[in-house]
This record gives sequence, structure tokens and C-alpha cells, in this order.
Amino acid sequence: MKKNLLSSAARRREALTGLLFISPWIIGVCVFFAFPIFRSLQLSFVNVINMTDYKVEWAGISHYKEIIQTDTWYVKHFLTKCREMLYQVPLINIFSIFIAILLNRKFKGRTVFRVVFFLPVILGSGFIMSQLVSQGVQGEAMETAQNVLLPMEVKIFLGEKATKFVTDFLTIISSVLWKCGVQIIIYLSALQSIAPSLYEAARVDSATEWEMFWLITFPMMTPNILLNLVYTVVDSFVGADDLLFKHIQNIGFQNSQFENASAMSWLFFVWAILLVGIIFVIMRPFVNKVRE
Amino acid sequence: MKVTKGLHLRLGRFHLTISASRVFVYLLVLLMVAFTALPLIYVISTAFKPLDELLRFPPIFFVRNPTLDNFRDLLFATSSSSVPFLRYVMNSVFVAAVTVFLTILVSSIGAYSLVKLDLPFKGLIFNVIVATLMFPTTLATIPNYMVINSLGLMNTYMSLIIPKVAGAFGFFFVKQFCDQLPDALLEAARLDGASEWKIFSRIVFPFMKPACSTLVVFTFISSWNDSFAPLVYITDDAMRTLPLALQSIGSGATLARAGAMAAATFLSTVPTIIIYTIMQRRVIATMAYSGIK
Repeated sequence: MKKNLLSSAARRREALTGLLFISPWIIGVCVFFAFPIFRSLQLSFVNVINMTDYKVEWAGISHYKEIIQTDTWYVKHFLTKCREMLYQVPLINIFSIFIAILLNRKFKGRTVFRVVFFLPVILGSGFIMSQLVSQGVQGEAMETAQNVLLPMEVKIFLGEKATKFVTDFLTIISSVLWKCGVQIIIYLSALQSIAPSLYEAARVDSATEWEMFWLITFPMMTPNILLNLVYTVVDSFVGADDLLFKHIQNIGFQNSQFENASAMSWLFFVWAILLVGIIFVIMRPFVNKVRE
Repeated sequence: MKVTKGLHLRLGRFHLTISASRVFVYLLVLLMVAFTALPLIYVISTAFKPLDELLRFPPIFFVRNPTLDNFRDLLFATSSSSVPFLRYVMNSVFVAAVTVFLTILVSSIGAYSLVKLDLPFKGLIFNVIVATLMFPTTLATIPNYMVINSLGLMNTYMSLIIPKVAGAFGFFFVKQFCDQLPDALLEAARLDGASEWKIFSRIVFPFMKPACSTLVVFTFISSWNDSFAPLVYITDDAMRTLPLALQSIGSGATLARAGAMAAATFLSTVPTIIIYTIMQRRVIATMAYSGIK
């Protein structure tokens, strides 16, 4: 409709203004994201001969081979991380939905709790957190806290194996809870955008809370669940306290092995993409059902 | 939770049980809060510990005789490194403020033009954004260093600011919000002869304010906490930001410094917590409106 109203000169002017408006962003993405991503992929397949004028020779998959065959540290931690992600990604999302539902209820002090659950995002992405970790503050804090939760008498009563099981369990829960911040917010917003009239109608038909969750809340949230699963996978690769990330940066910046470092990050990315693909395949039938 | 809800409903006819379920909610939330907030509580409590409590082993969780010694130590005694702590704070504030300002300007004006203007290659640009969301920034770090280097931006504040401005996340987010701006409003302004810039600054930007305040939170946090960029790009000690200052305080590594370290950590988390607390409601509301689905 708009197009009929405007003359071609006016449309061209609009296109020009539009390009002018969006160009800072496009230039930024090209220079600091698209190009670097492309360059790092390229780096993982070449040998750099001269860094200053970027002279390279094709190396094929030799860097990937070298990593898998010689860098045992990386391979070991890579596999551990892959295994961890398999249970952490679903756990993080289950916890986030759970917490989001709790935080969506009306109770006093809700704001404070919402901030507290976001704390890990405020701290966790940053150096502060990695400092805490490296200084053992988190470990110390967890230990002292666990001593409060699990007094010595209880430990003796439970015996060594059971105690280890309980503390391991607590450690996993706290490490999962620390990664829930953004996901909780996305689920909270999803919960708030579900029309209350749906629940009212269900209540009139005497549905239980349990039924309402599976027949209203869950189906309405599937797009957000998909989004969050993907986000969790991609996000698990970022973070200053991530061991793999640190290792890659060390290889890259301290040993100046840019090629190997790039190959390592791409190896991990392939795994992440694979996981995202699996998530899409599993989630697709659920998400489609909602749209129809 | 599923169990809770079932339980709650079966007993739900009575008044007493409603409060019981509320107590249950509180307990559950408190338990999880305990897990999430413990390290921070520990840091805060450590920041106020006097020397003898810092040295105690095994460490105690809560401070017994709080003191401000650690803060005094931090603000006045760190001058031994020739750069006062406040200088780092100012660096961080400056870098974060400029990053936030530029990010919002670039994202909102770009999103407006992508959504509402007759732009060539619209579909392509949008696909690029979605694809970009899938790539972790980690992949780009090493070539980014080369780019910064060849642009001659090493050891400048710009190297901490510019690479962060054009992010896919913020752009996508603002764009989703901009989709809801009614076209009629823009048409009316155009008929009245308003320029595109005027339309943007008078109509579009005010409309997008909630989305932008969310972007403020995320951009500020990521800039404020970033330790990687200053570590790699900045060589001049006086230009470094807080996270690195924390590192150099921490590298003193004697137990006595643990107090100053905790004080510094505490001080440097306060701004982000305040900003999020203020904006919290808006963040959740925008996410709901922005149709991230």
C-alpha cells in the first residue's frame, strides 16, 4: 500500500536513508564478527607463514589431527564437557522452568528473589566469578555452607559413600543453578504472556494444577523451551571460568598457535551445532503441534 | 514442583493450606537462593572481616566483628601499584557508558530501518542476524585480535568499546520489539513532512525505550564484567578496567590481601546489581512483549 503512495524517487531516498541507518551495524558485524568467524575457520585449515601480511599455506585437516592425537588434555576435557552438557542442558532448563513458575506466583519479596536468581548472570559471566573460582572462594563457600546444611553428625550417620553422594548432588545442583539466570527470565516472560483466561476456563472445568501445567503452560512455552535449549548450548561455550575456553586462549595467545586454537574452537562448535540439530529434531513435533 | 502443585490442589479448599503452600514456596525458593547467592554472601561477609578472622582455618562463613579496614586498605593502600583504585573504576564506568550508548544507538536505528524502511536485501540481512545468534563469540576472539591490531586500535579505549557495539543479540531483540510499532503512526508523520531522523528520534525511539532499557542491562553487564578484552588489548596499566584491577589485587595472594580482594569484588558487583534491580521488571516485560518465540 505504501509503495503505491510513494514515487520511485521517494522510495529510492527511503532505501538510501535505510541503508545509512543500518550501515553502522552491518559494518560492525562484518568487521568484528562475520570476518573473524570466517578467518578463524580458515585459520584452522592453514599454516601461517607470515603474520604481518597474512601469508598462509593450505594445511588440510592436519591441525585437527594434531589436536586429537597429541593434545590429550584438550581431548579429555572436551569429552568431559560434551558428557556434562548432555545432562546439564536438560537439567538447566527443567530447573529454570521450575524456578520461573515459582517466581511467577504472587508472594512478598518476589522482586528480591528475581534479582537473586539473576545474580549468577551478573557475576558468572565475568572475571569476578573466575576470580572467586580460582581463589577457591566458591569452593570454600560451598564447603562451609555444606557444613551448615550437613552437620558432622549427619555425615557420620550417613557414612562416607552416602555423604559423598549427597555432596556431589549438592555440587551439581549449585553448578546447574548458576547457569539458569537468562533462561529463568525468558521462561518468566513466557509465563506472563499466557492469557490468564485460559487458566480460569480450565479451573471452571475443574482441572488440576498438574493438568493445567501439561495442557496449558507447557504447550504454550514450547517455542521458548526450544529457544532456551539452543541458548543453553551456545552459552555453555562462553565464560571466563570455562576450562576449555581458557585452554584455547592460552594456546592461541600465549603459545601463538592461532591455527590450533581455531581448530579447537571449531571442534567444539561442531559438537554444539550437532546438539542443536538433535534438539530441533526432538522438539519439532511439539512446537508444530502448538502452531496448528 | 509437579508434586507440589498436585498436593496444593488436593488440599486447596481450606484457607490454612493456602498459606501452607505459600510457606512451601518460600522454603523452596529460599533453598535455591541459598545455592545461588552463597558465594556472593560469602564474599560480602569476607569483605567486612578483620584480619584475625581472615586468617582463621577452617574459614568461618559469617563475619563476627565487621570492620571497614578492608575498604580503607583497598582505596588508600593500593596506591603502591601507582594507579589508584578509583582510576580503574572510572575506566570501567567510561568504557561501559560509551558501549551502552553506542550499542543502543546503533541497534535501535538499525532495527528501525530494517523493520520499517524499504530496504534492499531485507531478507538476507535478517537471515544473517539469525545465523549470527548461533555462533558463540569465542570463535571470533583470535581473528578479532588481528583485526584490532591491524586497525591500530591496540591500547585504546576504542578497542574495548567498538567490537561490542554491533551485537546480534541486542539487535535481534530490539528488532522484535520494533515490529509492533504501528505503521500508521509513521505514515502520519511522513505525510506531515517529518524527516526519517526526526521520525526515529521523536516516535520510534521513545516507543522502543523499554526494549532499550533491557539492552542497557545486558550490555552494561557484559562490558563491566569483561576481563578478556582489556587483558589482551590494553597494555597501559592506567587504562585497564576493574576486572583486571581485581586480578592484580588478587595476585598479591597473601591472606591479608584476601580481605581487600573481597572488598574490591563486593564494590565492583554493586553497580550491576543496582542496575538490574531497577530495570528487572522492564526486562521481563520486554521479553514478554518482544515475542521472542
